[in-house]
Amino acid sequence: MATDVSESQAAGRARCGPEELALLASFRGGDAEAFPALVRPHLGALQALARRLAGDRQWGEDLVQETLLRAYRALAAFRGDASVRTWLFRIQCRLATEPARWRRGDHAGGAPPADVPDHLGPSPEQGSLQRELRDRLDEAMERLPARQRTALHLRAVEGLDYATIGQVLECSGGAARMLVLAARQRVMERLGRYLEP
Amino acid sequence: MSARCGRSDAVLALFLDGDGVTAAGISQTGTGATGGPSRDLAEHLAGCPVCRQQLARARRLDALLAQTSTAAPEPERVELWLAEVAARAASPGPLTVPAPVRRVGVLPLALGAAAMLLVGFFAAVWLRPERSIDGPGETSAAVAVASPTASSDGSSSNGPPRESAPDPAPPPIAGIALPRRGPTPSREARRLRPRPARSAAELVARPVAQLVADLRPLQVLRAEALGLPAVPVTAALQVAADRVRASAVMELAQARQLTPVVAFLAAEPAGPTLDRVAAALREERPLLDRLRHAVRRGPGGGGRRWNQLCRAAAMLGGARLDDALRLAVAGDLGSTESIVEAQSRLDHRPGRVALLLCLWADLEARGFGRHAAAGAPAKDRVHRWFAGLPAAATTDLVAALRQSHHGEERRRCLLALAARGDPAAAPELMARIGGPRYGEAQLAAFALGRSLDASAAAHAVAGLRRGRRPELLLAALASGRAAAAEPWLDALRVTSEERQLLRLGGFDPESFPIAVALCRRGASAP
Repeated sequence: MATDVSESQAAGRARCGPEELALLASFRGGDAEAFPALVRPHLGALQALARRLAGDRQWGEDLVQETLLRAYRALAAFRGDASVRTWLFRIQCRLATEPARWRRGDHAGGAPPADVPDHLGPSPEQGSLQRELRDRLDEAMERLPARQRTALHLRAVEGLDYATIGQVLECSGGAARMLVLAARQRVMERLGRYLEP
Repeated sequence: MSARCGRSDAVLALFLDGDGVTAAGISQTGTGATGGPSRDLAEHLAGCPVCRQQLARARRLDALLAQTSTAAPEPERVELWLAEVAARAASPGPLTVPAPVRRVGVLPLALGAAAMLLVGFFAAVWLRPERSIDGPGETSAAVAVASPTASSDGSSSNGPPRESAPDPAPPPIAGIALPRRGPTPSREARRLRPRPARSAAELVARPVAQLVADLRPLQVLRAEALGLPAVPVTAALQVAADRVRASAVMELAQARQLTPVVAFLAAEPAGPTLDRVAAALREERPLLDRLRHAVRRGPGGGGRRWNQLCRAAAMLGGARLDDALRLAVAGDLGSTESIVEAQSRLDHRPGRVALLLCLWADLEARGFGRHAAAGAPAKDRVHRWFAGLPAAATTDLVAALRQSHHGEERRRCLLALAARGDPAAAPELMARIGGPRYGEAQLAAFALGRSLDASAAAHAVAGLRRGRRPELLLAALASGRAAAAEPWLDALRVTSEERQLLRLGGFDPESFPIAVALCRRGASAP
């Protein structure tokens, strides 16, 4: 069984596709334009994970920014053993453990939030319930340990399999599965009746 | 959630994550089932309500997570990221991806600590006073300062002159601070010994006395030349002290020190200093984020501290903090009253009216003010929230009234305007009386009755003459005890008791419809 699992994990590991490999070669050849083409498809996913890891929209954007910079500097040494998306996730997860490297105190550049909450819409009760549910979910996720939070996000939002999640978190696929299951259990317990259909 | 099944994990792994291998592993280790794990689990799922519920909840959770996390980044933001990468990549920097943080084991830590202790011990033995005397060229300044014996016998003549040494620092190693033997410390050594710090009062007293002394001749000149009364010295000192405190709080806020900032907001009396500091704190986004997270975490074991956090959040405000506050108090009347009281301590507070209206809505949604036994007093208290607000609140309420697409929201705005009784709202209320919804028009008339001044009464009488909903306008005038309403009241076809009731005025939202019904009897014919 152990052999089957490890083989399955090895087979499940995403590698660079031909298009990504071509862009990589182009970047190594000195084409700086290859970098945006390489990372642009993954920015949405990076931003979503960053917000989840940082627990804040603006700090999440700082984290994405720093992730991209690190990726740019390390791209020449990237061997392509994993897909670019997995590789970027791994950089981001590593950076997230060291907030001093990417958190900036001044957020003046971002758009300031409106001071008046948007509660005057056609159905404030409905909006209020949605907001409450979202906040409870965010709160439950924030209370998870960082690795569990990351694992659940990668599974539920990005749809990664356990082997790839293990690649990102630098652990085995089995350990990734345990992280996802534990995280899911905790969040479901915390949300309680909010998950009733 | 209390019921559990040993195969739920396997069910989730197979049916939610599509992980057949893992599911088979869990299933086999968990129950001993053999062969066809998928079919086996499917059969189990069909007969196990606990697993079915777990699966449904997990699917909903995954869907919620996906739904709340899939917003694409704005194109401008993406371009900004890439541009900054291009700009910063050109500057020199580390070329490697940071290594993951690894935990240091207990053994290396213990070995390190032991090594440090050993080094410290040998250093203490090596740097004893006797050795410093024996080796004049190797004596450090710190040791020389700390060792009166070494400095008094003149043997260390090649060191810097001790008289020129500034305020001496305490010796780095406690074991060599005092001489083990030798004569009485010299005068110079006594001078160089660390002195106890002067008390803060001693340090402050002299400059303050000087300040007051400097102020007196200026006060006299000001009084003689300008004829102005003297400014009390205590007031000037208070202003200075307030500025120092505000500055200290802002420094703490910039360092994201939440606890002292919250303590300051709790203890500072209402006034310009509190307003000024709160306005500056609203710019400290990292601190506000910390405060928001702390509020959202809930009371846990520290209800008093959490209450202080909520009150601080109520003073600072802003959309995200207000949302967190609403969730935190969750319609609880006591907590709501506490944060309403906290926000009322500030003269200016952004989003105040919106927050109060939302809190009111939350209370109503949970039964206060309508059906609960405590409804009526709670409702009265809610009305009073708006009574003492600054004048700008009327403008905000009128704006909210105009923008609202929700009847209940408009009802609350009108009641709040009635509670305020501000004549500035009268034009809007007059317009509402002529509006398409009669119930709302009646509430507007009630609010107008509470907001009447001479000008508003004249406008109401003019409207009465035009004949557009005269009963509402007359009831409003009667409620406000306007003298201009007398001829119309006299012309009503009502009994003398009913007329007397109308003349008494001062109706509340429940009795106002009765007044309207009475005024309907011939209000158009004065």
